Amino acid sequence: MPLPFIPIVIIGGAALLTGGGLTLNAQSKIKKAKAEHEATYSDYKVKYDNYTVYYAGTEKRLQEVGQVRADGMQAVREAIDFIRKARLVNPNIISDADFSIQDLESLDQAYGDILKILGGAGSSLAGGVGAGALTALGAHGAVAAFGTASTGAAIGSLSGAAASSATLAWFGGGALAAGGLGIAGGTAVLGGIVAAPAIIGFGVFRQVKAGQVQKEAAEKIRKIKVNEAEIGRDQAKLRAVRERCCEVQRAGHELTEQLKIALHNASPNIAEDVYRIVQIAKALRAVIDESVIPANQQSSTRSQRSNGSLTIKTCAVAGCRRQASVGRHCTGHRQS
Amino acid sequence: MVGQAAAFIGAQVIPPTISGIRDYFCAMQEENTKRQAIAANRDVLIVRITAEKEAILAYFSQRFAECRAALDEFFELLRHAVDSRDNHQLNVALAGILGIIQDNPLDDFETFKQQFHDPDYTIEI
Repeated sequence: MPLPFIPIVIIGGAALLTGGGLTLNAQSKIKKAKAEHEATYSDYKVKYDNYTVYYAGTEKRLQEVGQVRADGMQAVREAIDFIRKARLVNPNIISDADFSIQDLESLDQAYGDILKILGGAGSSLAGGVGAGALTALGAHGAVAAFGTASTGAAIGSLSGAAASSATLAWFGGGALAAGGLGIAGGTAVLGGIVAAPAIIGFGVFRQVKAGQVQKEAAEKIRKIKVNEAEIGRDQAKLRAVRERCCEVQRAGHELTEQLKIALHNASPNIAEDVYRIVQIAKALRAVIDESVIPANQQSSTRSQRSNGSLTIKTCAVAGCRRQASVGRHCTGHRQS
Repeated sequence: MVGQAAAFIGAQVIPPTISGIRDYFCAMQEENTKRQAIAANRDVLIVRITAEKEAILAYFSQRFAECRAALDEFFELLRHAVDSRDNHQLNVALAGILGIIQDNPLDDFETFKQQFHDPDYTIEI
């Protein structure tokens, strides 16, 4: 090769190598960003699916509360019949039990209201209740307020800029495969020298595009990770809803059972028996009326202290870290 | 000819090449900075949301645990009252059960959410 062409060849070759290297490197960055995004999204999908199952399970718990309410009102119905019998024997017997005609009518009304929720006066509580009605009986407020069940579709893919291009790889790789510098090659190299800035420019362009793809992937990954954290938080809220379901369910079930036992052993002629039935029926009705999920989210006065802070005190006994929001001793130390 | 080629290279090849390399480094730096900002913002958000989750879990599990223990006692008292037909015990049991059930811990959620983000608010557990 003539001597003057050597620097030309060297510069041309360097330009081609640099441009090709930049393009290949950009390609690798795009692939890596895409892979990281896909892996993050796959993990998120699993957590999201688990969350939707948990959400559905919470709605099931509400149905179970609805069933307890239906059972409770059935027992209240029997108590109403007992009280009416007692009134026939002694009209004053219910006022002795601290119970008025209006209270009796109110209980009757409550029973009628439950029947309406179930779909009309002809409905009955005795024959079992459908799922939709049970949820209506159980909810008193939407589970959705406590769990956002977010979707992940918008963050599941990167835009078209992330798609790999065979042409680009070819451009980066093919130029390196040129090889064979002869006179004809020298002409091509000379042409390549002219193209050298363009090749490097293209490589820089690909690097910039790769940077944009990396940024897009980082943004999507950010959204995915934040969604994941929000799902964790929403699941914690749903756990509290489940605890409340359990609380109302237990109270309703226990009062229903004790009302039935009391009715079984009671006589409408005995004032104390009537009193007992009336008190349990009133309490059961109050529990049935209680919401699991508050209809509005207004704070209760209980959570506000005079100094404006929400303080969850621990037990006054040294070393005990149990909560003592009622008084200054936890349940265990209060008993002793 | 060599001189012409050298002049050509000096004028048409080297400056754009240097400019391209400089642009590359600037663009890379810029994109890198943007990615770091995204990651930093993400981490701050995640830490905050996770802290809220942990506070919710701690507060409500303690609250419900105490309610559960108290309800167990009152249910026991209720059963005894119905068995022994003791209306005085019955009143105590029913008042206790209603007192717990009618105080819905979930009423605190909205307040909890608002106050959690208030730096002047104190949650002592």
